[in-house]
Amino acid sequence: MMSSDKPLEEESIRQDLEILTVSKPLVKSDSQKLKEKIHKTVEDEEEENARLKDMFWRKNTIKYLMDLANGTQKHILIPDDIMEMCLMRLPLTSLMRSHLVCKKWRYMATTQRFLQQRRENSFRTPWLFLFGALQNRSSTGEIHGYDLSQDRWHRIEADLLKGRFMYSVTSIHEELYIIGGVSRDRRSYKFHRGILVFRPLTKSWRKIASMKHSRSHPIVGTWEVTSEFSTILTQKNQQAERVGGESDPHKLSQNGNRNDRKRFVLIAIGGTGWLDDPLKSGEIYDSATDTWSEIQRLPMDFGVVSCGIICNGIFYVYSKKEKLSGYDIERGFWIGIQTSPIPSRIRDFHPKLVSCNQRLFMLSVLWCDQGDGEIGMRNKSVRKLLELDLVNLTWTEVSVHPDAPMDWEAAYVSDQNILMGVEMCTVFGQVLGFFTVCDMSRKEVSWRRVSRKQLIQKFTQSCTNKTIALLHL
Amino acid sequence: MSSNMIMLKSSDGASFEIEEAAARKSKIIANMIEVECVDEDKAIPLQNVTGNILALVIEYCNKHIVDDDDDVATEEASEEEEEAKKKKVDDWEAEFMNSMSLETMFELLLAANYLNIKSLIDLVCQTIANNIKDKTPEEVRKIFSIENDFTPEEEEEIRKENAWAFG
Repeated sequence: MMSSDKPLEEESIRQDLEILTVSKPLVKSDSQKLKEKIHKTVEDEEEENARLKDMFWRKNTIKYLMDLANGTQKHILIPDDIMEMCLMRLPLTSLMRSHLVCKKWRYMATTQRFLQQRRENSFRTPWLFLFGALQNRSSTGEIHGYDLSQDRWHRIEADLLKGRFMYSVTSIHEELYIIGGVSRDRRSYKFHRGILVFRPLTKSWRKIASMKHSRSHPIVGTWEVTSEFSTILTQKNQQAERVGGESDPHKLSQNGNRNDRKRFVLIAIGGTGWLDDPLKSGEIYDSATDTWSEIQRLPMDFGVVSCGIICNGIFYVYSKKEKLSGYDIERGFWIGIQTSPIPSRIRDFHPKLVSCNQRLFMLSVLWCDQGDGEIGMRNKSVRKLLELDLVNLTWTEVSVHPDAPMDWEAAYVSDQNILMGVEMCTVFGQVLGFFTVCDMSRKEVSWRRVSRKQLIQKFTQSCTNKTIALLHL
Repeated sequence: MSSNMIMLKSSDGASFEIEEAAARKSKIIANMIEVECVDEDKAIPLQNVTGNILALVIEYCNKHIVDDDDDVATEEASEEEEEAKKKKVDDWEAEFMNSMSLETMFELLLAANYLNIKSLIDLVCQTIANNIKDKTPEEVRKIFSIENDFTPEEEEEIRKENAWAFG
């Protein structure tokens, strides 16, 4: 399938490019023709007027530019605030490079105010972070960052991750959270409860409180909460403080500082424990208190959680028994969700829940239902994007992924308005990566392929162990 | 001409006639029109903008006032039409900026900033950013006549900090 599709695909892209490169002269000659037409017919006086006016201004501009050229060229001094406005719009790697220009630029481009404005004006662009590359059956300890806007990969050394695998990854506030997993230490295995936090902007690592249980491949998600939010544990703490009566001013100020940061929760559900047993429990981390607390367990008959995503303050999880449930983060309990039947999927491919713009989606691999039910015809599979109507609880098909499904463990991540997927497969002993992006802000949902041929050489044996996260940087 | 025309006067004494609707793209001029009741035959003096730059500003405003009218008229335009229109504007803007030297761009940016025309500020800033985004620090220094005030050690330190992004 792939081998016959690909050359066609590339051919069409090449043709597209050719069309693009000749389009400018075409446009020019077209507009020339148009102008002649107008000139000949002179039907539309208004248009003619507009054209003349346009020419007047152009002439005016040219005249002034000529005048300026005849005079002496002046050196213009650029006020810092103006330069700052330009620097703010640089993509991350260019911005980092601009630190090297001079001390003033470095200062300008690193102040809190500058970074905050860059964030608020959405000048940041999406980056995909790919974890879990293996070499000779052991984790290499590196992260691959893909800059979507510049179509470039960057390799980030991450010695802390060396030997660690089966962790889960999620992201919030410009940081990546690497949760749980297993490391192999000579002959013994270490099962992790710990969380490592990586901040790409400063290439720095920190740790937050460890989970109560060690988990491999837990289903994880992050959610920003208001300062009023309270987990069961913080409620208990507050009560204890009240009982104690005295308030420690130093402690209060510490809390105050913490609250300045945007507060969020991190939830880890399921995964496998140190006996390789599937875990039913889940726990929640509160950034304001740096503590984990257990959350309500899922009903016994729910089955093993296979994927999940947070959408509108609800952590939706989907089980291997094809059941859907949602954990209300603010109120702290599970709600079983009865939806319209999901078209039956091919079991070998794991479904994935994703969320964009407060909408909930599932990626699932189904049999292609063309060929009026004949068994022999139904041998083609497709990956479909299904949306759950959160009011009527009905699933509808939104789009079909352009690639034939190959990777059982295809990974998908979502952000405010983009959806990105990674499929990997081994062909003749070489790992190939296929990266697709879907812009959900547009009315018509369509996928596009990115990063062709760039990463092929860099990976070995990482198909089943990859995990990805998205950040705007 | 049915619409109101107003006069703008540049710092070097050149006068420009412009439709009021186009001039209102500038928050400053819009304020002046509202507060000071501009006389019909009296030009608004713009102390900080030279004639050549003002001509560019006016060209931009004239182009975009038409577009804004279109937006109101065809609110229910299909996505395709909308995209085609956006592309037309993008193409025009690209050509408009293409004809300019970096020096002119900065002067235009200063004028847009002074006149408070947000969309023009965005356009010029983005164009300048695109202009320098693939340049080496050395090239950037040359463009802006900036002197390198880092010691080699400091430079190395910064390079190390951001090593992954330079690779």
